[in-house]
Amino acid sequence: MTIYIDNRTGAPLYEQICAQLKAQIISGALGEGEMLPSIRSLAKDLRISVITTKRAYDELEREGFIYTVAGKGCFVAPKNTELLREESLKKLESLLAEASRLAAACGLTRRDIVDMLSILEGDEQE
Amino acid sequence: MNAIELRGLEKSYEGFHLGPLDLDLPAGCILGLVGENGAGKTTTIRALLGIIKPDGGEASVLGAPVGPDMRQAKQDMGVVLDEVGFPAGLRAGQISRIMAAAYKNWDQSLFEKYLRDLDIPTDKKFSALSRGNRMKMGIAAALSHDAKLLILDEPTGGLDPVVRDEVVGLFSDFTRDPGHSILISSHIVSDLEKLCDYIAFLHKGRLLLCEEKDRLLEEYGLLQCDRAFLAGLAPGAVRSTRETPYHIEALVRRDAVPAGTDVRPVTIEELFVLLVKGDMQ
Amino acid sequence: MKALILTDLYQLWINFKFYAVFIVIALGITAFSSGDGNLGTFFPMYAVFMCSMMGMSLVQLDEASHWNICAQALPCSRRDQVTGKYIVTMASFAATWLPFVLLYAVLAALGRMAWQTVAVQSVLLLIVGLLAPAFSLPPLFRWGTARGRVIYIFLVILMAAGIGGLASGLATLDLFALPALPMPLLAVLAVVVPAALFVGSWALSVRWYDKREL
Repeated sequence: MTIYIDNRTGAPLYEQICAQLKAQIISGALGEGEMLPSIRSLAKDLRISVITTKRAYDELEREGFIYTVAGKGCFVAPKNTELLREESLKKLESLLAEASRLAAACGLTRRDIVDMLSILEGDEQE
Repeated sequence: MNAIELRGLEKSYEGFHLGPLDLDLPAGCILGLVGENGAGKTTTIRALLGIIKPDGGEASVLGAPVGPDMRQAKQDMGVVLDEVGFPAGLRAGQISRIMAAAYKNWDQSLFEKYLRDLDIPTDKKFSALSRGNRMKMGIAAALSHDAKLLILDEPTGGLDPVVRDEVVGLFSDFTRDPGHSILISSHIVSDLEKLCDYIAFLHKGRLLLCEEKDRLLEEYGLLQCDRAFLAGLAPGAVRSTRETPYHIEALVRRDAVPAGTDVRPVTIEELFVLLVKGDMQ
Repeated sequence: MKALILTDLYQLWINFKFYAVFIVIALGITAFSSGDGNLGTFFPMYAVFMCSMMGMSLVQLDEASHWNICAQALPCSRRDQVTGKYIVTMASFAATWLPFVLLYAVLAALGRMAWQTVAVQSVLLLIVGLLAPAFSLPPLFRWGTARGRVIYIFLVILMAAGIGGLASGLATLDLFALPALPMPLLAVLAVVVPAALFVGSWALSVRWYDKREL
């Protein structure tokens, strides 16, 4: 399992871990039922706080990507298509929000954005 | 259970007053005590060990109240003070025999392993060792009796960067066990940045803050801007500022500044310096 | 407490080995002068006095190396720290006193010394050996070496003068001529009182050191 930590972007560490593990679970790099490293060993090996790794795991568990067996550890949850769709929708939403912000900064109207989208989709259809 | 609990701890000396301090070190965590020289870090640690008696408040270590008889608790405590005080003429072998007599769980082979790994000369008298080696000896001894709590007062003073990294690694490994905790004080903040779960800022005897280190780094950021921009920010967004001839450096709350503002991540060291030396808002 | 006593023994070995040589010399001189006269009285007295003050030297060494502070991190109480010093003091006193008493006994058996003198000298040495640390250790535990040293010097002068006078006085006194105090009782008192003071000193040191800030 590969995890990258970047202290310089300012993105919260627990989010970085969460996002990377999620991506690996979705892509299948982390298989169903695979055991994840313990919260402590992950923290110590990455040289970050256990509170952060715990937060990342708690978040993943809350979103249904992993589950905990008391006394044993954390395991990758079976793939849930509903969950994946949910995840993709969330990503789409955040991308659209960012596009909207940028558009506002450039002074583009909604019309301009829809036109842009049509052009792009047109390109794809070709 | 908390490994350490301070409730209203107070101590007065001429010209200096510590506290009242309220501090908790949850079991399995590492708490870094940051402060300039004379801030009260050593005083706090000495009060925890019974070296000095507090004027007020209470403290407990590993569940036992800090008081006259802490022998049981001290069996489970590994301590490195800012000056490691083994008698001058002793060598490593004699020191290890003394430690073996003191601690029920002394592990001689582990101690020897640390002596080898940390490159500590075993044939020299303690007074003939360099400051760094004396420190390393103290650290090796503290790690060799199955302690549950490490109390470290400036343990990396006098160590070069490579050794410091090694030693910090040892402390980090110590807490792979969820029952192990560390209280570490240092004014070399960069050592604490990677190691700690909690950070407490001590300044002139007062606790400025005690929070989860990662949350602190998420909450705050550094912004370089001009006076006009600063004025436009929401009240409460700016915690402290420092002025240079070319810009103003502001310590801001990330969630209180407009989206898209170029806010740099802040280090614990910068955070501390700005809170202590900057112009508070 | 074992660890503390072990540390003290190491310290004695490292720093005060030469005292053993001095004791041997003192024993020699005492034997030569048959325990009589100034030499025969001074050297044993000084040897026992010096060795019974080992506790004080050890406390000073502890302070110099900061071991007194670092020992607080060890699982031993303040009481252990005091008791350790008193035990080592007893041991170094006994290690000096016994050889001299044996020497006296040998000299008496050889007819070069009177048994009465043996008894008196032994008791005097006991008094010096127990009283010197009994008086000097508590102030040391309470106030530390810096101030304790002043008291030590004061005590040395006091002891030297007092014991000197006492020694010459008692040695010439015919003890059987004292009707008021039967000798057995006097002998018992001469041993019990210093011993009691020694124990009392220990209790006081414990009480004072318990409260001491380092």
